[in-house]
Amino acid sequence: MNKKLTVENLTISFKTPTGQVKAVRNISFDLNEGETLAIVGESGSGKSVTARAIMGILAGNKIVENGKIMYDGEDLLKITEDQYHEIRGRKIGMIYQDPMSSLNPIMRIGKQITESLILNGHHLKNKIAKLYNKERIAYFVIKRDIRILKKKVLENKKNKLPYKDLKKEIKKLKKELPTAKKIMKKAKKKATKVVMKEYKEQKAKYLEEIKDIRKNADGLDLKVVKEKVSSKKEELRRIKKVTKKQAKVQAIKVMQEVGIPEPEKRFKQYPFQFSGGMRQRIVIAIVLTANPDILICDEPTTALDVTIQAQILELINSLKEERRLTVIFITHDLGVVANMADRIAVMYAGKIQEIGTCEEVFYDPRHPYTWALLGSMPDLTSKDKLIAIPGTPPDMRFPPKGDAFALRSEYAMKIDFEEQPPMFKISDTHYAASWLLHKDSPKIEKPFMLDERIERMKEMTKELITDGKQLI
Amino acid sequence: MENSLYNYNKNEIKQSEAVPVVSVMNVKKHFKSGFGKRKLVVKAIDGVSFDIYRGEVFGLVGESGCGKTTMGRTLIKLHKPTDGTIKFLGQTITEGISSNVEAISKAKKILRTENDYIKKLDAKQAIKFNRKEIRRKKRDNENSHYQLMKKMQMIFQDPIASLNPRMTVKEIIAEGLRIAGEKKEAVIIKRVNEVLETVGLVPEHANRYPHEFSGGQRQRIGIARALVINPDFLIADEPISALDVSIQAQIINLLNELRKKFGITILFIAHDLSVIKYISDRVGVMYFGNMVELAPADELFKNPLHPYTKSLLSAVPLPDPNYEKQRKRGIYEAQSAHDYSKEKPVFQEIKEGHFVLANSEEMEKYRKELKD
Repeated sequence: MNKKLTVENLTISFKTPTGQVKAVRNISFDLNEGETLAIVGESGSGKSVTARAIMGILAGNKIVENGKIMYDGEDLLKITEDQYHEIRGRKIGMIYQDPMSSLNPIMRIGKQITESLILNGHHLKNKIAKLYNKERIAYFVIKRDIRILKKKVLENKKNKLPYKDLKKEIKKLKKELPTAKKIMKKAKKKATKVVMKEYKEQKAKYLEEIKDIRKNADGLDLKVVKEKVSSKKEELRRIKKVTKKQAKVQAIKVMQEVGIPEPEKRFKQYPFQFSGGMRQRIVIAIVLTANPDILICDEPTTALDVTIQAQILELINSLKEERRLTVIFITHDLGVVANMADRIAVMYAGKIQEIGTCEEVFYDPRHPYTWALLGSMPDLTSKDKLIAIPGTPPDMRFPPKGDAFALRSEYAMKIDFEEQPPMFKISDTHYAASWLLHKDSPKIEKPFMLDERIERMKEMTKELITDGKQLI
Repeated sequence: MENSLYNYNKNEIKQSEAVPVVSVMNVKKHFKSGFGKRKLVVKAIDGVSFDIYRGEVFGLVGESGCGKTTMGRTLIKLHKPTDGTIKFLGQTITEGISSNVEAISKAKKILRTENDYIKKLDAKQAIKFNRKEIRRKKRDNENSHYQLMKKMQMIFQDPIASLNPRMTVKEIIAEGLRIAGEKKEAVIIKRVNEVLETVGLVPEHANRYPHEFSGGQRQRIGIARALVINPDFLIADEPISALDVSIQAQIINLLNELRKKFGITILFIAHDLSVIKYISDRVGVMYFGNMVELAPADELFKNPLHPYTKSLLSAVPLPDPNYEKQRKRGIYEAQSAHDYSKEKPVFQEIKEGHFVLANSEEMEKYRKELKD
């Protein structure tokens, strides 16, 4: 299996007036091509922060302390903003939680969908940018390095560490800067010349063709001639950029794909004229216009009710197969995950507590937090008292010293309060961070209620397969 | 909290013996907007009738926009009903007048068009009677039913929006008591502390502000506020849909305990079917302003009859991957599923305690299904 994205030892915290909030603490996972990875956890467990770090849209007070996000051979945490423009949206798309607030209320749906197509659609500009990309990035890399060094100097000054070598380096880099700029400008001029020359030739060709049509050698009707001319002109425009007509055709195609009835009519409407489910479809359509490989869904169905939720999940599943998307699905509802995920990562207090394939996590959960999450969900047949998790998640300004879940867990041992458990390997794909898995720990089985439910669900599944007894 | 003392068993209630705490009779609530060409009438509730019996949890499900929240709000007189009667503890608390208005306009039409003397006389009498009724209803509706309405309380959906950020928890909870006429500070403090303990908070929390609490704790404050004047009937309007999974279970367990301890009747509004199934004794399914099916929870989930209920049940996600991969979702479209051109559907009983919205043709079909 190809690894599409690798996150290694990612640690992110946020600066706040009352202290540093440690949102994500040292997490690592891989994302294989074509799979759905579900990240499950309570609010405040750092799942959205992880997703936003991958997209590069963290808030301004972030501090990335450590870690790597490798995509396409590059570390997303180190590349410049200009390089990020190539990836964000085009390679990695994201769907947000609340469809109401992620659409502009005073802009027609059509415009919102075609906006990115038109803005990114200057073919000539894009060609030029591609031609002198290397030189441009070289220039920006120098600039970024200077910025990083300056920060280091300031830090060292504060901590009274030697910083003279760093200053020398800055001087050296600053000397390189003007030459790099010159090279970049030269390259840009050259690129522009090449592209514009090509374009002018094409333009001249088209203009001649138009002249030929205008002469009307075949004696055609005037209307036909006019149509022909306008279509030729449209073709010429399309060489230069994505035209509004072209964008509309593409947008309507995408709208049909996400299941919006009468897309031509809907194209001219405003967001408030859509229901919650339809709005979420529009958001998905906007993301799909850029043809991303990776789709990050940040609680896409939390604001929707059961029937609409089922529709949106089916849509994401079918799109995933059609377009061969790789999906990161963030949610706090384990029921939703059962249908979607190939692998599940359970997060709590900024750490991954358990990661494994869907079957492993649902049928053989090992971490007390996963037990609690599964136990706190009523299903259609449960009769017993729900296992509520007592207390609340810890304050992440002062993360607990040992296992973060120990305070709320009835299985907590002494060591849980003192030392953080490492990831114990259960199988090749299944890992969990709990001292219960240590060989010296007492043998503790998962709660009786979960076993019972698994048995019950097995029977229900059997009935479903053998009798075909479907509710409808 | 006495978690361990609690054992789950549902209240077994036979309809004939029980006293309805709330009875809703043919209630309609229409929202009007605009004039002339742009006039729009949204029929949020369109003729719903049901009873809620003492000590039970009545679940109300349906997708968003089907009128379940409007139903709850009409019950507690936050909205005036357009038509129909709502009784609480045997006393009429609010009545709609639109049926009388309609009757008057019909009678006036007769007066204009008919020549028959007797018919005209009848119409005149009808107008007189209906006008009197309207006057009586208006007078009655203005009556605040103060002592009675104290027995009904509501828990709101969003615990952040429903608590005043500038009041301390004690002030929020005590507000109801003060309005109820309690003036002694010592009594108030004692009662507030009592209630805080019942919902699983500590008396020290009383002097804090809502923003200092987590979502689950805020919802507990909302519940404490409702409990403080010992209500008989509690309307819980999606109390858990804004909460985290682990906290949801805490609140469900708490509500269950309260019902057990104080014998409170609860109307539980939600769109999550597995939660509804877990907590309620009887369940009503609403679809676009109509009640389409009403049955005891186990019965409804075992024998769903109305196609909408079936499609709703098939959309519930369950925490089991194998089951989920086999499951197929049913799609319900109101136009194609029913043929009501010949006969209008009526909400009728098909089995003891099991009601369904159907016309006679469909009733036969459903009866066959039930026998199988």
